[in-house]
Amino acid sequence: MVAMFGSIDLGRRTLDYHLERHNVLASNVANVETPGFTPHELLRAPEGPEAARLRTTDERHLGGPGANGPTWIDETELVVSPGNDGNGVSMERELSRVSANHLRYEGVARLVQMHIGVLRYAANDGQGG
Amino acid sequence: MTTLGFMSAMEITASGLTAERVRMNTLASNLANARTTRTEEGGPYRRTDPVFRAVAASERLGVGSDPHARNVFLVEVPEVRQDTTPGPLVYDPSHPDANPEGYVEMPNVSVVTEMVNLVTATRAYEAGISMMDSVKTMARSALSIGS
Repeated sequence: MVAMFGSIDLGRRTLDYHLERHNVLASNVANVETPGFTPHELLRAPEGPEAARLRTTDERHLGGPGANGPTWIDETELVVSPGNDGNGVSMERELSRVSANHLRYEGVARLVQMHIGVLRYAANDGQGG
Repeated sequence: MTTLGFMSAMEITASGLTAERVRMNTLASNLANARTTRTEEGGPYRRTDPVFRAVAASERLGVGSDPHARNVFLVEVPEVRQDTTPGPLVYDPSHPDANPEGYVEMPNVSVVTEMVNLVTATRAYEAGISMMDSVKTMARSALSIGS
């Protein structure tokens, strides 16, 4: 079962991450003129670090929460040169991140959709794929 | 459990758009009254500036259970403050609002400053619009999963 739906679940977590990051980026864009505002960023740690997993001795064992636990890291951005009002948001940087994040989201969504299509094809005995 | 999603991203973007619109309204008011020498409070018109403040999304959107919500902020305009710097004195004894020495205090509005602010407000508003477009397209592609 894990093999069948595993990549859909991985896709779901990736979509969740990109959506949360979009919220952080939206907050940066909304506060582009708020004095003293420091932009934030949401980084993603590598999926399921081996050290965080429970050791398994059988392939049917579950790796525990470490395998797919929270792997997103909030970060306050280091601002090199804030404006006169102490605002560190660079509109160009934020908007290019918005575009990149958007494209990644669309790509992963397409991937999940294709995977579901393959499962449907298999579930229909290869008919009407 | 409420978490950050499409709706919260839209709310955050909308707060930015609203703040910029408030700013454009104050700029329009300043430009319209660039030569107003008589007001209800007496004296010439004084330019106004909105005050922007970042408010944690967990306070407004009910997304407190999301651990990442503490790094997400809406923008609010808690007040529109009056700029109290005195305006320039212009010598015009025939003006009805001239003082006994013949000087009229003009509003402290600089048309150049207001126009520069108008350009940055417009740019920030446009950035908000493209953010909103991006969120909407993303939501649409999420809805098409499984169809």
